[in-house]
Amino acid sequence: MARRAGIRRRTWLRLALLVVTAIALLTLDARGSGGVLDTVRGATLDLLGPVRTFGDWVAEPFRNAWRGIISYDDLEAENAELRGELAEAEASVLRVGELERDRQELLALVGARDAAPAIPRVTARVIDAPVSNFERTIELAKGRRDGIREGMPVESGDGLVGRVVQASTTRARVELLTDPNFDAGVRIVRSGDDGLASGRGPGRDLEVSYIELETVVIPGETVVTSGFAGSTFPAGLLVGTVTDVEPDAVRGAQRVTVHPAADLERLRWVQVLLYEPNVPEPVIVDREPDDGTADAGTAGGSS
Amino acid sequence: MMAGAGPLARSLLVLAVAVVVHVGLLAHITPAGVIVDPLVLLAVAGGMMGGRSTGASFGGGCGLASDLILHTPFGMSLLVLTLVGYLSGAITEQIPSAGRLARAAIASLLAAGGIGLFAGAGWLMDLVYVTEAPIVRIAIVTGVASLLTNPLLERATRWALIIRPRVTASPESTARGG
Repeated sequence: MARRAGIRRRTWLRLALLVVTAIALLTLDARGSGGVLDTVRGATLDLLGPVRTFGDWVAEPFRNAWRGIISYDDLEAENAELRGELAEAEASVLRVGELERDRQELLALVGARDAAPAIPRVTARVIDAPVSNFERTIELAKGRRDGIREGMPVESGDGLVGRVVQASTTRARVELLTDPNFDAGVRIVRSGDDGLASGRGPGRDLEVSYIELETVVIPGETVVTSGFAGSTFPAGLLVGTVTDVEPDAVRGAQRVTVHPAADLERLRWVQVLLYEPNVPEPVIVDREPDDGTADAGTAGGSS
Repeated sequence: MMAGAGPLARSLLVLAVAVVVHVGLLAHITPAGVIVDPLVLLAVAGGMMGGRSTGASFGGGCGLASDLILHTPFGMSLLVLTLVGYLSGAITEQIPSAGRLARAAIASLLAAGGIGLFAGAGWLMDLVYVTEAPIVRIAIVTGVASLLTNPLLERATRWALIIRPRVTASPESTARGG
């Protein structure tokens, strides 16, 4: 009887220890102080990278064949559409090239510096298969070794995809812009009004808040990143198009719904912008309390 | 080479194999669009073979392995699979004479319940990407996968936890260590 009670006590103790450990880890993770946890997760990501790549390499032909069988008509239509878009894009590239040359010549004439130099990019393959039904990120087959860091923006050919949330030596995880944790400063191109775009979950459009009630916003308008100082995104990345506008009298602003430009369901290749924001340096105030003559100065520029 | 190894080393080997199979193979085979998580199935099998105490530890190991490869909050899988292992052991101890088929059916229900528990934890933590996932479909597919693979998983966990065949209940009397 006493032995049985002892076993029962040990069982409860073991269970309690495991539950407390889990809660402690959850707390560490939630407080963002999981540096060690991130390192361990990153190492696991690197370690399993070759297995993932091999599995993806083996499965890809079968997956493509299956997709070809079940959606042949769709693929044919999409192919024709893409050919049309490609022809248009080629013409645009020529026009943009000419405009860029003109711009550079004008800048040289007035002796001005290019304010928006091209941001270097890294092209990375998306590992097609998520490892969980509850995955909210995509995995890229490139990482820190290629210059990728946490917070960097990720684009597809169509528009913004999300931002890097974890980068190990050879792998990176990207949080999609539809994720509820995602937000970014955006600008409605026509009116120039700035707002905050937030994700609302997989398959859902984004919501842009803080657009003034007086601003006229029309469905179909283009929305790009605003690139405020300190923002993790540079200005001008295509986010999507407005699909719906609703006045929110309580907040005294409009609620704008934006459909992402990037097709998040079919990402094969993406580009990571090696962009690190110009975070304003902290303002250091020299205090000279006694004589009262010293001006409060700044020892750092703000952008 | 592993014949003389203890339950800890054997369990780690089984977990490592499960993780490799998960990310290298099962992530690409998605019946009804669902990824079968072998670590959930293993936690159930561990509990059923080892009883509540060993099941909690083995489930915890599965959870920790799962936490390493998923991007859900760290500790969430540890918490859920510890409870899954414990409950699997506790429930199986009530029906020690269940036959192989009955055990597979119980494992199936427990695995589906494990998915429900994970969704519940996600709801408590306000994780939209968990609560908005097709939970019922995931639970059904996981349950079916457990039904089909339970004999194999029971064998694997029996080997890992060094449990003599035939004896499946009253874990503390059967499991050495764990």
